[in-house]
Amino acid sequence: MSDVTRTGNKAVVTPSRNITAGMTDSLRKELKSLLDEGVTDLTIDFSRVEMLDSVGIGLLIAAHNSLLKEGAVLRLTGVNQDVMGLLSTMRLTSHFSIHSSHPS
Amino acid sequence: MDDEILLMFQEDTRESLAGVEARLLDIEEAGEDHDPELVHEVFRSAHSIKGSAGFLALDTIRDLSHKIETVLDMMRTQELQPTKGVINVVLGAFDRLGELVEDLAHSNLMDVSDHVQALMALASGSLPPERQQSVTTMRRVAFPDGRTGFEVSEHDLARARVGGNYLYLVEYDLIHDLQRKEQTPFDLLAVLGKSGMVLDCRVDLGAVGDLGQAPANYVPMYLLFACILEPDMVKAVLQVDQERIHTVPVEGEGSTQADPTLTQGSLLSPAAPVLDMEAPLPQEDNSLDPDELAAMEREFDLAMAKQTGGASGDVALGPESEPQAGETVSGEESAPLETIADSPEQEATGFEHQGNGDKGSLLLRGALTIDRAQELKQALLAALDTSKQVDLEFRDVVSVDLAALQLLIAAFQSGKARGIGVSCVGDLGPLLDFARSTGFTSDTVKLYGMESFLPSEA
Repeated sequence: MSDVTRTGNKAVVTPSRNITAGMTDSLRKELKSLLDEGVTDLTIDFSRVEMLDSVGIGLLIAAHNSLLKEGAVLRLTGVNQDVMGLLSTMRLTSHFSIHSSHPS
Repeated sequence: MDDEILLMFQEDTRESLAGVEARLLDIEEAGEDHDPELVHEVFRSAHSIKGSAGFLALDTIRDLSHKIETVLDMMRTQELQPTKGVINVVLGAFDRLGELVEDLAHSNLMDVSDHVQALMALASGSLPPERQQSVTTMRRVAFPDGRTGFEVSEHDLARARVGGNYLYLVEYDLIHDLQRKEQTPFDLLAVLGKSGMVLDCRVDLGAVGDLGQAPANYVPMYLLFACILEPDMVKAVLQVDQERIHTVPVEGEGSTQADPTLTQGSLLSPAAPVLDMEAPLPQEDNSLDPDELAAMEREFDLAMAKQTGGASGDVALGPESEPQAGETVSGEESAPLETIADSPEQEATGFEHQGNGDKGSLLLRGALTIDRAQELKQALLAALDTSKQVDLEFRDVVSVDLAALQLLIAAFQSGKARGIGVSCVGDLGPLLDFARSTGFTSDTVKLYGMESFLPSEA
């Protein structure tokens, strides 16, 4: 279960643990639900995420693709060095808006 | 900019561009007597920048370096002479490329149209009128699901097929094929560049789907890859399962429909996977397994049967379909390969073969790479037909790539089946270094009983 802060069409989702296969189903439902409710400005706060596996990467790209249809960009904040390295290697940094700092 | 990969690309590109101007000026000064290797070097710079920029989605850099590459390739094939005017256009384009590389963040928005037009004019102007349009006529190569994958000019397609190359659409998974093996896409591009030509590269995030679709844990990266290796052999170089290697049909054969978005374009759908290999390659290491060796042996024997048993004097070791488009662009038809019986000493190969019925020696020279796979194959066939013991002399060999290593191993296996000894002798440093890098170690040599083939590694 994630913490969700919602303001209008803006939402910040803070997953409570690493984004790996065991939790992606619930996170997917949470994200989809937010998008279905009209959220177009979506930020995922990685401050409690230390690790991302392949299923997690797939989920992030799926969220990115959903937002893209609305002309929006997926934002990631609080990203640690390891996750940043992974996203950079896969060149996802050019598609997502990524910050190592926490959301304001 | 905190993107390490972009910084790495920037640094590598600066380094690559540093020597380009001096080389181009040397080429211009020497005119028709220029050193072809200089043109190769400049070409390789442009080609390498294009490949990396494609993966990084630096589209303007990719397009400009691509056009530079096209002109340099025409200089390589002597379709275009390096006159002062030609060199000036190329120099100007490289200068602009340098400016783009210094401002990667905005490079996709920077205007390069003047340079592109000048380069295209050089390229098409050097071709006969009937072929000039091939530079601007685009065809598309579709992904397996039918979506447009790559848009490639007819000229580039033809160029890719020159020399009997096959064209492959290859699907990698960034997660499982690269990241989990601690490889970067650049590593892959560098490796493949040694065995063939990467025409284009694209990461396909769209294939992953969205939140409304079933979860996917893969990120496809497609490569358009030209290589002399035939469909049942190329897997060893590409290192992915056979079902993810699609052979792109020769232009004209696979065209199915006009593409209204492109000038006179047509769809080149990649064919279904051509062959099912009997066993997949090991996923975690690159060592050659027995099935792979057996496959190489069968391939080599098949080629040998074609060479020695066929009644016809013309033997095609390349694609079964002649590379028609390649012939038209290069202006040179692929020379029919001579049968061994017609030319037992293989004088044209550049490899010197001496010997008699008992013992022979094949002197190998220079870089044994995919570019010379055909001639190496012929030289090996000739040597096996002549002597009961063949020494492959490596003293003048400077490097070896995977295609050459495969052929050498195939020669050993074929020789073994026929009671002919094949041994590598001389300075085996380059061979052993490369063999080890592919996982072909002393254990492998012992495992397959190849001590007589690679004695230094036993």
